[in-house]
Amino acid sequence: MNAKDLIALNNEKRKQLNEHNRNYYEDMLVYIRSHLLLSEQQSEELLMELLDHLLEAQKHGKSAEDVFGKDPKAYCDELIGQLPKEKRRNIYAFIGYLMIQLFALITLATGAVELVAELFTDVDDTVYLGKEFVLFVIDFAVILLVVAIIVLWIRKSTFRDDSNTFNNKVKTFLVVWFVFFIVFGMFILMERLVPEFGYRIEAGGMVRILFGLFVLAMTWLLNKKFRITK
Amino acid sequence: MSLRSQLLKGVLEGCILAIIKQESVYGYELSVKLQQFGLNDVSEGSIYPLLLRLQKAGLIKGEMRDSPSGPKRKYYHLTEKGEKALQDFITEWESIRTPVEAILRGGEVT
Repeated sequence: MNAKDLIALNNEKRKQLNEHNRNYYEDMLVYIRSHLLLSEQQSEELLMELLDHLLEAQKHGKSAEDVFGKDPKAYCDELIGQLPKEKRRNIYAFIGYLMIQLFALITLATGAVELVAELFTDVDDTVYLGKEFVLFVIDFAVILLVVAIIVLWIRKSTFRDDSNTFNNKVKTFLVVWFVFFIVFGMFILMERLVPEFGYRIEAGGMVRILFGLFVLAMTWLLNKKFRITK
Repeated sequence: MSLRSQLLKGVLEGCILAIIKQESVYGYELSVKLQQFGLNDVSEGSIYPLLLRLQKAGLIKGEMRDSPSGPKRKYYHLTEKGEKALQDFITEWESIRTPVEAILRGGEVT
């Protein structure tokens, strides 16, 4: 069974836990999964084992504390210390895959916007490849950074009882929007700041859409062949 | 940590290897067997970090297999390296057991 199947089965089986055990177990699950550099396959196999064990124990009237102890964070840290890391090759392949996919999506989106705009006004179709490349690298780095921060944040807030209070929800909501505006503002600022340089081409909306679709199809084929996302 | 669990810590891996050698087991089964042998105060969860460690060291191997009682489970079996590690453990244990027992009984140096 690969990681994807294990995740699906886990989602299904987890429903059999009673509320108390499920809360306890799901904290462990979120915490372990938030360690992105661990082998996904091994992590999911372990999570399935722990779930199977807890289900069996529950049948015999035991609680999660009876099985895994009163300090789930310490217990998970012990497990994480023994879990193997994901292979570097897989990590690079996955990041590369995300990059190409993001590139395709941006091309598609800007193409669609342009196609609509072309109906009403005269749009400047000029694209400077140097500038586009720099912008793309910056955007991607920012997105990766934001994802990393979010994951670390999730990791820090697991095993805490106060994460569900109203105040905390409001705080989370505000922070998320704040980050969103900062990032969005940065994208627009960069668009203005980076000078136009590099090879110059004309690419209208239709061309961009077709190119974006082509790249998207390529990533799909690559993923199917090399099972990058399993 | 109680004295008992400290003592146990070092030998638990050897016990786990010995149980897995007899037949391949999955996690829950293993914890039940340890309890059946009288190790009641080994907390059930504590076997999983050990199983991961033994796997990482290449002494045991886990395999998702169909279980008689339903869906796939991860069964562990001993690798060749694990067989050897178990043999070493037994040898070491024997070499400690006799002198320790003699000392504890207050015997004389032979």
